[in-house]
Amino acid sequence: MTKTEAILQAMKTLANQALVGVKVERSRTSTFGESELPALNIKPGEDEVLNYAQQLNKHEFNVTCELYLPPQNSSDQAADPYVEALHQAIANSATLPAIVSDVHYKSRVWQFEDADGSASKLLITYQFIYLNPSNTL
Amino acid sequence: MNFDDDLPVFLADFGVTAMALGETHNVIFNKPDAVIFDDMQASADFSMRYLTSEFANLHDGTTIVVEGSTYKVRGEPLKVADGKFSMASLRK
Repeated sequence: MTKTEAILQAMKTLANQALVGVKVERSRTSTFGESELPALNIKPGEDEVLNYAQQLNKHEFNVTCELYLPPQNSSDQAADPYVEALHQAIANSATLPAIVSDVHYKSRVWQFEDADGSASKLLITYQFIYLNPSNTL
Repeated sequence: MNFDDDLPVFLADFGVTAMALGETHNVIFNKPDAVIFDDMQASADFSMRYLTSEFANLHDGTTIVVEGSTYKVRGEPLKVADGKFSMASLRK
């Protein structure tokens, strides 16, 4: 298993445990129905590789968690407990330190659309740092 | 032929009952689904079409009961075409 796959599996497990009542998916490309909300879609981003030492690479792997919320008043406010729970799960994970050397909370981007009320989508990006021999992933 | 006289008849034939601000009128009620966020989330997209001369004081947040279900007006209603009809988006 590649490191990126191990990270993504760990993220999904952490999210499932931390976010009660939230449907957690990985790399889903089909539409979430209203009955499936709130939902979290974990998607891999770029895995940037830098040469660290001879035959040793430093990886910076971005993972974005897309949080979809049901339309409601102040839907961005409703996202806050989920964001905090996810962050605490990542920060206190016993699994991730065995896979990566560091995790950075990178960004949060809010998006809004007019639907049956105010719908919001929150993109939360984490960056995972790890070293790997250049002949492995 | 006076088309304006036909508008209430049209609503009586094809509309449903709506009540708001102490008034009751027939409206055309639409409730299709819509997809948002680059087709990643489905949502209901309630709206109603009504005579502009009726429900003249609808505004954002007005409570309205359509076919027995309660909604709130979402945003300001807008006139359509020649202005005889208006359209109001709704939310549950």
